[in-house]
Amino acid sequence: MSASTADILLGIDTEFGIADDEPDIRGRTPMRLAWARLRRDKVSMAALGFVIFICLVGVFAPVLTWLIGHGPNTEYPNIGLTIFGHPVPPSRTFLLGTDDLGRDVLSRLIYGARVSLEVGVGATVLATVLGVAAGLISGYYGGMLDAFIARFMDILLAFPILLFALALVARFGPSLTLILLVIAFFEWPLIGRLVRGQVIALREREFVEAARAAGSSNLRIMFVDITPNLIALAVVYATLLIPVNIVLEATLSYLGLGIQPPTASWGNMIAEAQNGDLYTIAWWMLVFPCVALFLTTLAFNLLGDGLRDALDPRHGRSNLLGGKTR
Amino acid sequence: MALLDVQDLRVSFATDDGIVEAVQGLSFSVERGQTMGIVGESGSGKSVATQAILGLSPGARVSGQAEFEGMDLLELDESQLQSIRGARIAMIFQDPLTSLHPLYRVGKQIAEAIRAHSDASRREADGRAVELLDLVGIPHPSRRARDFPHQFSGGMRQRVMIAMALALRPSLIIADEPTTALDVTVQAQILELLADLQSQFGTAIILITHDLGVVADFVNEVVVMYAGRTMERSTVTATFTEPHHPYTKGLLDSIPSHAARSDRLRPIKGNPPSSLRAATRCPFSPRCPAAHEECLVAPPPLRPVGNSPGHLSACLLPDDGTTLREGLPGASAPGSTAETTTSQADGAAEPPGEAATTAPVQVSAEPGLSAEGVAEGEIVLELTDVVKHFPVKGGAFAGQRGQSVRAVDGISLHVRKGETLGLVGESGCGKSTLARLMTGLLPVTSGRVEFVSRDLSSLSPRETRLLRRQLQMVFQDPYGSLNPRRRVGSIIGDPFAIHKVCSGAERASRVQDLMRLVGLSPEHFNRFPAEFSGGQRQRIGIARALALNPEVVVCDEPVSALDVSIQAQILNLLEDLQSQLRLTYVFIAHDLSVVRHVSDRVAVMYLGKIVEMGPVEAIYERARHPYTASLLSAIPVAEVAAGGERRERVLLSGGVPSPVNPPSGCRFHPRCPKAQEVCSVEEPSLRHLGGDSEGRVVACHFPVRAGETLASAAWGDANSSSDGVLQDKPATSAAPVTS
Repeated sequence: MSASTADILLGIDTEFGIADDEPDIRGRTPMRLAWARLRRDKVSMAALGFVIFICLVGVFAPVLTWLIGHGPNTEYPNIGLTIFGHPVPPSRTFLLGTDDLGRDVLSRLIYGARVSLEVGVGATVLATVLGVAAGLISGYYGGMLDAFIARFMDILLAFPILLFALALVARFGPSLTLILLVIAFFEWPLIGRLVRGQVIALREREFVEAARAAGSSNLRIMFVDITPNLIALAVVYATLLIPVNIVLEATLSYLGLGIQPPTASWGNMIAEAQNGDLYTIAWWMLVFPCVALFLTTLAFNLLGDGLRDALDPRHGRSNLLGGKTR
Repeated sequence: MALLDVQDLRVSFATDDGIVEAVQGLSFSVERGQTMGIVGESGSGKSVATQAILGLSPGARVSGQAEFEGMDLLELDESQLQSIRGARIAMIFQDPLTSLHPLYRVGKQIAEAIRAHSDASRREADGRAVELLDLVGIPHPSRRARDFPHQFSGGMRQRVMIAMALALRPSLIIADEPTTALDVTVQAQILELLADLQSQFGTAIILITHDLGVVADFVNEVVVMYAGRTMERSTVTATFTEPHHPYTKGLLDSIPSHAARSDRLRPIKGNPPSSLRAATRCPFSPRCPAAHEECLVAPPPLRPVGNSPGHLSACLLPDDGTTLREGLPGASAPGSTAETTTSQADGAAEPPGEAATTAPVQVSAEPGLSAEGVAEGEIVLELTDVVKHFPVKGGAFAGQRGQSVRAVDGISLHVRKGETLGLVGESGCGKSTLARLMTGLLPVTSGRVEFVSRDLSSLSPRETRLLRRQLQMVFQDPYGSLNPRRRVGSIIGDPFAIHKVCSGAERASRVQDLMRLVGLSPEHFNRFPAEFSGGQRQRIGIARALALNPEVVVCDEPVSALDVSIQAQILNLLEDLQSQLRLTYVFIAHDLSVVRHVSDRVAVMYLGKIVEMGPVEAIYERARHPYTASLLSAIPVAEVAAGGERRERVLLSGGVPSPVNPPSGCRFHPRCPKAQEVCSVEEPSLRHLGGDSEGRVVACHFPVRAGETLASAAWGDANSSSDGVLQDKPATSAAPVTS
């Protein structure tokens, strides 16, 4: 028995004497519990695998294209186009075929993943940070400040983001940074509203009162006591926001307002495939970017759902085994 | 033949952590027209067992037999069970608000239940519903039948549930903690009603409860459950007068009302076992003062013991009345030393010298805000005419702007250094609000709260922070008051960080000292609150409150969320800490016996006012305010008189009125058995009584005289109640009931 003398004297807590074969149900942190639940969920694990795969592809894009031997923007007029000047179908040289300029679709797809993740993750991180900060301040302080921030968030959410982006791009010219900022600016209220609601509930909890009783300042309560309780929520919704932003970027690029050629993005690849009905003779130009987009958004969405269940098992899916678990 | 005969019932659930063996071979039987109590702490499987019998625990694996009126309930399919549930066996749950449908009128709900099981017409069923509401003592039943559940108070809702349960004249009613959510005075009414109806209709009742006091007054037979097993089964008299199983004895010893003020409680040490595995030995053996090797071989079977027939106990101890240790000379095992240490087992059993070093060192206190110089017995905390009103939120439908909840309405009291002031009252009397006013967590609406003669409202923010070191609070909910996302070490060390007292290794070592002081293993400082049991969490809360060596600790219902055996551990801990660290306590609770046990002086609150205040013995032995007297008589006491007689009770009618619109004059007058004209007009002030040398103050025009029992006062209809929204006819009755 490892129990100290004091424990035995006090007779509390550590297993006393003969209670040595009790199964240990303790020693697990909230994060470890969540991870254990997530790991049991096969769909989420598959989604997580794909997300990691796509991230690796994005990060190692230069290495991969170097291995393939075809740069994303290099045109191969001789081997990359048929004698009629049409794109070459998938073959040993071009695994996923080429586009109308004789560029390797696979290499472009790989670089497209990079752009998608940059915008998807970048805008989401920005929106989440802004949203958590605003929701925290708004929910914690309440009153006029809350009314102001909450109404501002409502107003932002009422804006048609696509139209607004269109106008901004027309004014400032398309760029990755602009897209990122525009998306983040219109999306932080989504997170902000959720966080605000959560903070309003947390603010009334006894542990916050206990912190106040111990003399904590407002700032300390907000960051030390409340913020850790928001992380799960923020992670889940950020994960669900990433695919939205990836699609948004693809949409903007498809409309010609996002990533400008020759830089590859899944959105402008789809647009190019549709340009002059090219896909009718070169299906691979349309199908592969679509599949990449579809799988990536699906994986993020599934992962987000899985995370939600794992981090907060009370909500969402009900207890798999039914019955009371008390 | 028995009405319900349960044999070897086993229930298990698959959970995230493995298979939980919730019930491990429970057997009992209920005769027609009898009442049986199932007593157990949380997690003992008492609710699960009855739910499984009725097929109400989906996902559970259930085995065994439950013979009811010739059928085995466990063999029936869902549709057959449905025809039995409600009609032959009815259930009453703890929280009537969640078991009543919020969107249907109560009359309709009862009528629906009737029509579901019979071919009564709508009109007949409606009429029957009204009759039933009348039967359970709801005033103006035909009018109230058209009300929605939220328009009833807690006690009234429970009456509606009882009416619904009775609707089809079932032969068995299972009441699962029917009074746990209610105040004592209302609890007494409901129990009385159940007893009344039972004798009227001869319905058998299974009463599931954690409160031995509730069964003592109510049932014929008691089953004591622990870790999914029956520990002891006997008549109620035998349970209380000659308990055999050490667990039953431990439970009885843990109850504060069993011990006088000066006595230490003798809690059962340790925590209930995990039920993740079927027991391979006596499940109580790790906590048992008399455990020996034989207990570890297999769970002892139930066997007849004692003198009374039908007394069964799952313990190997001889039943010839020998004490545990004499009966077991060979008891070596760790348990053998346990009994001698029990008395000190759960407090700080540390030698005084060590305690002195573990006690946090006073950090250079600001002049004027320290109570260091205050001598024992001097006033440290003083409240003068403290008032707290909360504005009623004016929603779209409120239509009553400008109204306010008068939570605390003019309270003056003082707390002397080193004493414990108990504060009792029913829910809604403003005691928790008062706690927050005392600690400066809420600003007062008017009046003064002074700590060592400094008005809290006049302090600068800096001084307020310093005050925090001196005035600490222990919260009610051990689950809600600890941040679930922070490690215990950082929670306890929070005050050090906030006040920049120390950091790094020093903080860590002081946190561990504190953990040791409150009886937690210091190795656990890296764990999260969810990894601790309720009692351990409350220890964490206490450690946090003590971190900065406060002068006054306000405990807001610190044990009300805990099981009785754990509750005793915490009470002992608080007492030890008080004597070691010279703490001053304000102890708030709704449980009168707990307050009696810990307090030196007691203040009784009713609707935002103090009605009586004085030394604890004076209040409990010779209550002068009718409210105090009736509150005291309503406590269920875990004792059965030798002759089987039951105590005489003063049953108050109705519940506590709304603090938005308190009654005129004396706020207690609508429920007071002694109320007269003047009471509804003139508000009595707290005053010393002539010929009373006990230093008490009472706010009553007609204080109870010595020797006078309230039962002899004029009384009306026992069931008349002016509860809930219908306050039109203030019932001036308290029914003396001897049953």
